[in-house]
Amino acid sequence: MAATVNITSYHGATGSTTNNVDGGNLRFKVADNDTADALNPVPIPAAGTNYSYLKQLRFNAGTTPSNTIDNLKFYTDGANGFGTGVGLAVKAVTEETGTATSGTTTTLTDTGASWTTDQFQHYVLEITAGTGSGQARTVTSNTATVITVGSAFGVALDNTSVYRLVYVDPTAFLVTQLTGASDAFGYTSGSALTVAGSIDNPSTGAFGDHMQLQVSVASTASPGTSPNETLTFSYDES
Amino acid sequence: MQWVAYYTDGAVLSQDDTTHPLYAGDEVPFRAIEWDRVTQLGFRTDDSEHTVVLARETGWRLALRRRTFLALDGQSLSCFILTISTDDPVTTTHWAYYWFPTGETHACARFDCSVVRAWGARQVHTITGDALPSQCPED
Repeated sequence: MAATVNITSYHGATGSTTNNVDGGNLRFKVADNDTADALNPVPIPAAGTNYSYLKQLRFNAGTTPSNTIDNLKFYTDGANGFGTGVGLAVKAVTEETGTATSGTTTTLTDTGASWTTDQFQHYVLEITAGTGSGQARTVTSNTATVITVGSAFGVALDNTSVYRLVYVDPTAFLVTQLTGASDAFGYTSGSALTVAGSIDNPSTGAFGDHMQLQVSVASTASPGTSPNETLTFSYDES
Repeated sequence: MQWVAYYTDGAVLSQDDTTHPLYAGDEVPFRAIEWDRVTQLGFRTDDSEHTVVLARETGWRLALRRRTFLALDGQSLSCFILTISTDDPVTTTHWAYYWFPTGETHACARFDCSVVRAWGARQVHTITGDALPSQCPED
Protein backbone atom coordinates (compact mmCIF):
# COMPACT_ATOMS: atom_id res chain seq x y z
CA MET A 1 0.00 0.00 0.00
CA ALA A 2 1.17 3.46 -0.80
CA ALA A 3 1.02 6.29 1.70
CA THR A 4 -2.21 8.26 1.85
CA VAL A 5 -1.34 11.73 0.65
CA ASN A 6 -3.63 14.50 -0.45
CA ILE A 7 -3.51 18.24 -0.98
CA THR A 8 -4.72 20.45 1.84
CA SER A 9 -5.97 24.00 1.33
CA TYR A 10 -5.63 26.58 4.10
CA HIS A 11 -8.18 29.25 4.96
CA GLY A 12 -9.16 31.79 7.56
CA ALA A 13 -7.41 34.69 9.18
CA THR A 14 -4.52 32.56 10.38
CA GLY A 15 -4.75 29.50 8.16
CA SER A 16 -6.19 27.39 10.94
CA THR A 17 -9.08 26.23 8.75
CA THR A 18 -8.08 23.42 6.41
CA ASN A 19 -9.76 21.53 3.65
CA ASN A 20 -8.51 18.38 1.97
CA VAL A 21 -8.93 19.02 -1.73
CA ASP A 22 -9.60 15.48 -2.80
CA GLY A 23 -13.23 15.48 -3.76
CA GLY A 24 -13.46 18.14 -6.42
CA ASN A 25 -11.88 21.13 -8.04
CA LEU A 26 -10.65 24.48 -6.79
CA ARG A 27 -12.21 27.66 -8.07
CA PHE A 28 -10.31 30.91 -7.91
CA LYS A 29 -12.55 33.70 -6.68
CA VAL A 30 -12.70 36.72 -4.42
CA ALA A 31 -13.77 34.72 -1.40
CA ASP A 32 -11.80 32.62 1.04
CA ASN A 33 -13.16 29.16 0.23
CA ASP A 34 -12.63 26.33 -2.26
CA THR A 35 -16.22 25.79 -3.27
CA ALA A 36 -16.56 25.34 -7.03
CA ASP A 37 -19.59 27.59 -7.42
CA ALA A 38 -20.38 30.69 -9.46
CA LEU A 39 -20.23 33.11 -6.55
CA ASN A 40 -17.65 35.85 -6.00
CA PRO A 41 -16.07 35.88 -9.46
CA VAL A 42 -12.98 37.97 -10.11
CA PRO A 43 -14.30 41.12 -11.80
CA ILE A 44 -12.83 42.21 -15.13
CA PRO A 45 -11.29 45.63 -14.57
CA ALA A 46 -11.83 48.57 -16.92
CA ALA A 47 -8.05 48.89 -17.00
CA GLY A 48 -5.15 47.05 -15.45
CA THR A 49 -5.51 43.70 -13.67
CA ASN A 50 -7.57 42.22 -10.85
CA TYR A 51 -6.44 39.31 -8.72
CA SER A 52 -8.16 36.44 -6.95
CA TYR A 53 -7.76 35.56 -3.31
CA LEU A 54 -4.81 33.26 -2.79
CA LYS A 55 -5.04 29.50 -2.72
CA GLN A 56 -2.53 28.15 -0.23
CA LEU A 57 -1.92 24.44 -0.63
CA ARG A 58 0.28 21.87 1.03
CA PHE A 59 0.94 18.15 0.78
CA ASN A 60 -0.65 16.23 3.65
CA ALA A 61 -0.01 12.67 4.82
CA GLY A 62 -3.24 11.27 6.18
CA THR A 63 -1.48 8.14 7.37
CA THR A 64 2.15 7.76 8.26
CA PRO A 65 4.30 6.60 5.35
CA SER A 66 6.42 3.47 5.58
CA ASN A 67 9.08 5.21 3.52
CA THR A 68 10.37 8.76 3.27
CA ILE A 69 8.18 10.99 1.10
CA ASP A 70 10.16 13.59 -0.85
CA ASN A 71 10.79 14.93 -4.37
CA LEU A 72 7.62 17.03 -4.19
CA LYS A 73 6.63 18.65 -7.48
CA PHE A 74 3.91 20.82 -9.00
CA TYR A 75 3.38 21.21 -12.74
CA THR A 76 0.89 21.98 -15.48
CA ASP A 77 0.45 20.99 -19.10
CA GLY A 78 2.26 24.18 -20.11
CA ALA A 79 -0.64 25.66 -22.01
CA ASN A 80 -2.80 28.37 -20.48
CA GLY A 81 -6.33 27.32 -21.34
CA PHE A 82 -8.04 29.97 -19.22
CA GLY A 83 -8.35 32.33 -22.16
CA THR A 84 -7.12 35.78 -23.09
CA GLY A 85 -6.31 38.01 -20.15
CA VAL A 86 -6.49 35.31 -17.48
CA GLY A 87 -3.33 34.01 -15.84
CA LEU A 88 -2.24 31.80 -12.98
CA ALA A 89 0.79 32.49 -10.81
CA VAL A 90 2.41 30.15 -8.31
CA LYS A 91 5.29 30.07 -5.88
CA ALA A 92 6.57 27.72 -3.19
CA VAL A 93 7.10 29.30 0.19
CA THR A 94 9.30 27.89 2.93
CA GLU A 95 8.16 28.79 6.41
CA GLU A 96 10.29 31.28 8.31
CA THR A 97 10.75 30.51 11.99
CA GLY A 98 12.85 31.93 14.80
CA THR A 99 12.87 33.51 18.21
CA ALA A 100 12.54 37.24 18.67
CA THR A 101 15.36 39.15 20.29
CA SER A 102 12.93 41.86 21.41
CA GLY A 103 9.55 43.28 20.55
CA THR A 104 6.60 45.52 21.30
CA THR A 105 2.86 45.08 20.87
CA THR A 106 3.17 45.91 17.18
CA THR A 107 6.74 44.86 16.26
CA LEU A 108 8.94 41.80 16.43
CA THR A 109 12.71 42.19 16.19
CA ASP A 110 15.15 39.45 15.30
CA THR A 111 18.61 40.95 15.10
CA GLY A 112 19.95 37.79 13.51
CA ALA A 113 17.62 38.07 10.52
CA SER A 114 18.44 39.54 7.13
CA TRP A 115 15.05 39.82 5.51
CA THR A 116 14.28 41.69 2.32
CA THR A 117 12.25 44.83 2.93
CA ASP A 118 8.52 44.06 2.89
CA GLN A 119 9.00 40.45 1.86
CA PHE A 120 6.47 39.48 4.53
CA GLN A 121 3.86 42.12 3.73
CA HIS A 122 0.41 40.48 4.10
CA TYR A 123 1.90 37.39 5.77
CA VAL A 124 0.50 36.30 9.11
CA LEU A 125 2.98 36.55 12.00
CA GLU A 126 2.17 33.70 14.37
CA ILE A 127 3.63 33.46 17.87
CA THR A 128 3.93 29.73 18.51
CA ALA A 129 5.60 29.75 21.94
CA GLY A 130 6.73 32.14 24.66
CA THR A 131 5.23 35.56 25.24
CA GLY A 132 2.24 36.08 22.97
CA SER A 133 1.88 32.38 22.20
CA GLY A 134 -1.25 31.56 20.23
CA GLN A 135 -1.71 35.06 18.82
CA ALA A 136 -1.40 35.99 15.16
CA ARG A 137 -1.45 39.29 13.32
CA THR A 138 -1.12 40.37 9.68
CA VAL A 139 2.18 41.98 8.73
CA THR A 140 2.06 45.45 7.23
CA SER A 141 5.79 45.87 6.58
CA ASN A 142 9.22 44.62 7.49
CA THR A 143 12.83 45.72 7.42
CA ALA A 144 15.88 43.46 7.52
CA THR A 145 15.32 42.72 11.21
CA VAL A 146 11.96 44.17 12.28
CA ILE A 147 8.45 43.03 11.42
CA THR A 148 5.52 45.40 11.97
CA VAL A 149 1.92 44.19 12.26
CA GLY A 150 -1.28 46.10 11.56
CA SER A 151 -3.05 45.54 14.86
CA ALA A 152 -1.47 45.22 18.29
CA PHE A 153 -0.79 41.91 19.99
CA GLY A 154 -2.40 41.57 23.40
CA VAL A 155 1.01 41.70 25.00
CA ALA A 156 4.41 43.16 24.11
CA LEU A 157 6.56 40.52 22.41
CA ASP A 158 9.96 39.79 23.94
CA ASN A 159 12.98 37.52 23.63
CA THR A 160 10.92 34.44 24.50
CA SER A 161 8.51 34.92 21.60
CA VAL A 162 8.93 32.12 19.04
CA TYR A 163 7.52 33.13 15.69
CA ARG A 164 6.46 31.55 12.40
CA LEU A 165 5.72 33.13 9.02
CA VAL A 166 4.37 31.19 6.07
CA TYR A 167 0.64 31.78 5.73
CA VAL A 168 -0.61 34.85 3.93
CA ASP A 169 -3.78 36.74 4.81
CA PRO A 170 -5.88 35.58 1.84
CA THR A 171 -8.07 38.67 1.91
CA ALA A 172 -5.13 40.99 1.38
CA PHE A 173 -4.75 40.18 -2.28
CA LEU A 174 -8.06 41.25 -3.78
CA VAL A 175 -6.36 43.86 -5.92
CA THR A 176 -2.76 42.98 -5.10
CA GLN A 177 -0.39 40.83 -7.09
CA LEU A 178 1.37 38.04 -5.25
CA THR A 179 5.01 39.05 -5.32
CA GLY A 180 7.71 36.62 -6.31
CA ALA A 181 5.35 34.25 -8.07
CA SER A 182 5.88 32.88 -11.57
CA ASP A 183 3.58 31.88 -14.41
CA ALA A 184 2.23 28.48 -13.38
CA PHE A 185 2.17 27.37 -17.00
CA GLY A 186 5.93 27.76 -17.08
CA TYR A 187 6.11 24.75 -14.78
CA THR A 188 5.71 21.69 -16.97
CA SER A 189 6.52 17.99 -16.95
CA GLY A 190 9.99 18.95 -18.12
CA SER A 191 10.53 21.74 -15.61
CA ALA A 192 8.25 21.18 -12.63
CA LEU A 193 8.17 23.46 -9.61
CA THR A 194 10.23 21.92 -6.82
CA VAL A 195 8.45 22.01 -3.49
CA ALA A 196 10.97 21.58 -0.70
CA GLY A 197 10.29 19.28 2.21
CA SER A 198 9.73 15.68 3.20
CA ILE A 199 8.10 13.49 5.81
CA ASP A 200 9.20 10.25 7.47
CA ASN A 201 7.60 7.49 9.47
CA PRO A 202 6.03 7.85 12.02
CA SER A 203 4.97 11.45 11.31
CA THR A 204 1.67 12.45 9.77
CA GLY A 205 0.13 15.73 8.72
CA ALA A 206 1.11 18.58 6.43
CA PHE A 207 4.64 18.70 5.09
CA GLY A 208 6.76 20.60 2.61
CA ASP A 209 6.61 24.17 1.40
CA HIS A 210 3.32 25.99 1.07
CA MET A 211 2.24 26.45 -2.55
CA GLN A 212 0.59 29.82 -3.13
CA LEU A 213 -1.52 30.28 -6.27
CA GLN A 214 -3.36 33.28 -7.60
CA VAL A 215 -5.40 33.99 -10.72
CA SER A 216 -5.06 37.33 -12.50
CA VAL A 217 -7.78 38.83 -14.68
CA ALA A 218 -6.81 41.63 -17.04
CA SER A 219 -9.07 44.12 -18.78
CA THR A 220 -8.67 42.08 -21.97
CA ALA A 221 -10.45 39.06 -20.45
CA SER A 222 -13.88 38.02 -21.69
CA PRO A 223 -16.86 37.69 -19.34
CA GLY A 224 -17.87 34.17 -18.37
CA THR A 225 -16.43 31.10 -16.75
CA SER A 226 -12.93 30.12 -17.78
CA PRO A 227 -12.34 26.53 -18.88
CA ASN A 228 -10.90 24.10 -16.35
CA GLU A 229 -7.15 23.71 -16.09
CA THR A 230 -5.24 20.67 -14.91
CA LEU A 231 -2.75 21.03 -12.07
CA THR A 232 -0.66 18.00 -11.22
CA PHE A 233 1.26 17.22 -8.07
CA SER A 234 3.70 14.39 -7.54
CA TYR A 235 5.76 12.90 -4.77
CA ASP A 236 8.15 10.00 -4.28
CA GLU A 237 8.35 7.39 -1.55
CA SER A 238 11.89 6.15 -1.17
CA MET B 1 0.65 -2.86 -6.73
CA GLN B 2 3.41 -4.54 -4.85
CA TRP B 3 7.12 -5.29 -5.15
CA VAL B 4 8.83 -8.57 -4.33
CA ALA B 5 12.60 -9.21 -4.17
CA TYR B 6 14.02 -12.64 -5.01
CA TYR B 7 17.32 -13.36 -3.28
CA THR B 8 20.26 -15.50 -4.35
CA ASP B 9 19.59 -18.10 -1.64
CA GLY B 10 15.99 -18.58 -2.71
CA ALA B 11 14.55 -16.36 -0.03
CA VAL B 12 11.85 -13.90 -0.99
CA LEU B 13 11.09 -10.51 0.54
CA SER B 14 7.76 -8.98 -0.33
CA GLN B 15 6.29 -5.61 0.40
CA ASP B 16 3.59 -7.08 2.63
CA ASP B 17 5.87 -9.24 4.82
CA THR B 18 4.46 -8.32 8.22
CA THR B 19 7.16 -10.38 9.96
CA HIS B 20 10.01 -8.24 8.66
CA PRO B 21 11.56 -6.19 11.49
CA LEU B 22 11.38 -2.99 9.43
CA TYR B 23 7.70 -3.44 8.56
CA ALA B 24 6.06 -0.12 9.38
CA GLY B 25 2.80 1.52 8.55
CA ASP B 26 1.39 -1.02 6.16
CA GLU B 27 4.41 -2.22 4.21
CA VAL B 28 8.09 -3.10 4.27
CA PRO B 29 10.09 0.03 3.42
CA PHE B 30 12.26 0.05 0.32
CA ARG B 31 15.42 0.35 2.42
CA ALA B 32 14.82 -3.18 3.71
CA ILE B 33 15.76 -4.64 0.33
CA GLU B 34 19.23 -6.20 0.49
CA TRP B 35 20.35 -5.32 -3.00
CA ASP B 36 23.56 -7.37 -2.87
CA ARG B 37 21.40 -10.49 -2.61
CA VAL B 38 18.73 -9.64 -5.16
CA THR B 39 18.66 -11.60 -8.40
CA GLN B 40 15.20 -10.57 -9.61
CA LEU B 41 12.72 -7.87 -8.71
CA GLY B 42 9.04 -8.50 -9.27
CA PHE B 43 6.28 -5.94 -9.70
CA ARG B 44 2.87 -7.40 -8.93
CA THR B 45 -0.75 -6.60 -9.41
CA ASP B 46 -3.59 -8.84 -8.25
CA ASP B 47 -3.39 -10.91 -11.42
CA SER B 48 0.08 -10.49 -12.91
CA GLU B 49 3.78 -10.13 -12.11
CA HIS B 50 6.43 -8.36 -14.16
CA THR B 51 9.96 -9.48 -13.32
CA VAL B 52 13.24 -7.67 -13.86
CA VAL B 53 16.42 -9.75 -13.76
CA LEU B 54 19.27 -7.91 -12.09
CA ALA B 55 22.99 -8.33 -12.75
CA ARG B 56 25.20 -6.96 -10.00
CA GLU B 57 28.21 -4.92 -10.98
CA THR B 58 30.65 -3.18 -8.67
CA GLY B 59 30.19 0.55 -8.35
CA TRP B 60 26.51 0.68 -9.24
CA ARG B 61 23.82 1.29 -6.68
CA LEU B 62 20.33 -0.11 -7.08
CA ALA B 63 17.32 1.51 -5.46
CA LEU B 64 13.56 1.31 -5.66
CA ARG B 65 11.02 4.04 -5.09
CA ARG B 66 7.38 4.77 -5.80
CA ARG B 67 6.23 7.93 -7.55
CA THR B 68 2.64 9.11 -7.30
CA PHE B 69 0.93 11.58 -9.61
CA LEU B 70 -1.96 13.38 -7.97
CA ALA B 71 -4.77 15.60 -9.21
CA LEU B 72 -6.76 17.98 -7.04
CA ASP B 73 -9.88 15.88 -7.39
CA GLY B 74 -8.11 13.02 -5.63
CA GLN B 75 -7.33 10.94 -8.71
CA SER B 76 -3.88 9.40 -8.44
CA LEU B 77 -1.59 6.96 -10.19
CA SER B 78 1.58 5.41 -8.82
CA CYS B 79 4.51 3.67 -10.41
CA PHE B 80 7.61 1.92 -9.16
CA ILE B 81 10.99 3.27 -10.29
CA LEU B 82 14.07 1.06 -10.24
CA THR B 83 17.18 3.21 -10.46
CA ILE B 84 20.81 2.44 -11.14
CA SER B 85 23.09 5.17 -9.91
CA THR B 86 26.60 5.78 -8.72
CA ASP B 87 25.46 7.58 -5.56
CA ASP B 88 22.29 9.45 -4.64
CA PRO B 89 19.68 8.40 -7.23
CA VAL B 90 18.28 11.92 -7.39
CA THR B 91 21.51 13.30 -8.80
CA THR B 92 23.45 10.34 -10.22
CA THR B 93 20.93 8.04 -11.87
CA HIS B 94 22.28 6.51 -15.07
CA TRP B 95 19.29 4.30 -15.81
CA ALA B 96 15.74 4.23 -14.52
CA TYR B 97 13.01 1.71 -15.15
CA TYR B 98 9.43 2.83 -14.59
CA TRP B 99 6.68 0.26 -14.07
CA PHE B 100 3.00 1.10 -13.85
CA PRO B 101 0.38 -1.34 -12.54
CA THR B 102 -1.57 -0.75 -15.74
CA GLY B 103 1.22 -2.59 -17.56
CA GLU B 104 3.23 0.28 -19.01
CA THR B 105 7.00 0.28 -18.63
CA HIS B 106 9.53 2.94 -19.54
CA ALA B 107 13.31 2.68 -19.63
CA CYS B 108 15.14 5.96 -19.40
CA ALA B 109 18.40 7.62 -18.45
CA ARG B 110 16.63 10.16 -16.26
CA PHE B 111 15.52 10.01 -12.64
CA ASP B 112 12.77 12.54 -13.35
CA CYS B 113 11.64 11.72 -16.86
CA SER B 114 9.45 14.41 -18.41
CA VAL B 115 7.80 11.88 -20.72
CA VAL B 116 6.63 9.86 -17.72
CA ARG B 117 5.55 13.01 -15.88
CA ALA B 118 3.46 14.17 -18.83
CA TRP B 119 1.93 10.73 -19.31
CA GLY B 120 1.17 10.38 -15.59
CA ALA B 121 -0.52 13.78 -15.54
CA ARG B 122 -2.71 12.82 -18.50
CA GLN B 123 -3.78 9.63 -16.76
CA VAL B 124 -4.86 11.31 -13.52
CA HIS B 125 -6.72 14.00 -15.47
CA THR B 126 -8.26 11.43 -17.87
CA ILE B 127 -6.81 13.11 -20.94
CA THR B 128 -6.18 11.02 -24.02
CA GLY B 129 -2.81 11.17 -25.71
CA ASP B 130 0.16 9.16 -26.87
CA ALA B 131 0.92 5.84 -25.19
CA LEU B 132 3.88 5.72 -22.85
CA PRO B 133 6.88 4.57 -24.93
CA SER B 134 8.81 1.64 -23.46
CA GLN B 135 12.08 3.31 -24.45
CA CYS B 136 12.51 7.01 -23.78
CA PRO B 137 12.52 9.09 -26.97
CA GLU B 138 14.58 11.74 -25.18
CA ASP B 139 17.56 9.45 -24.58
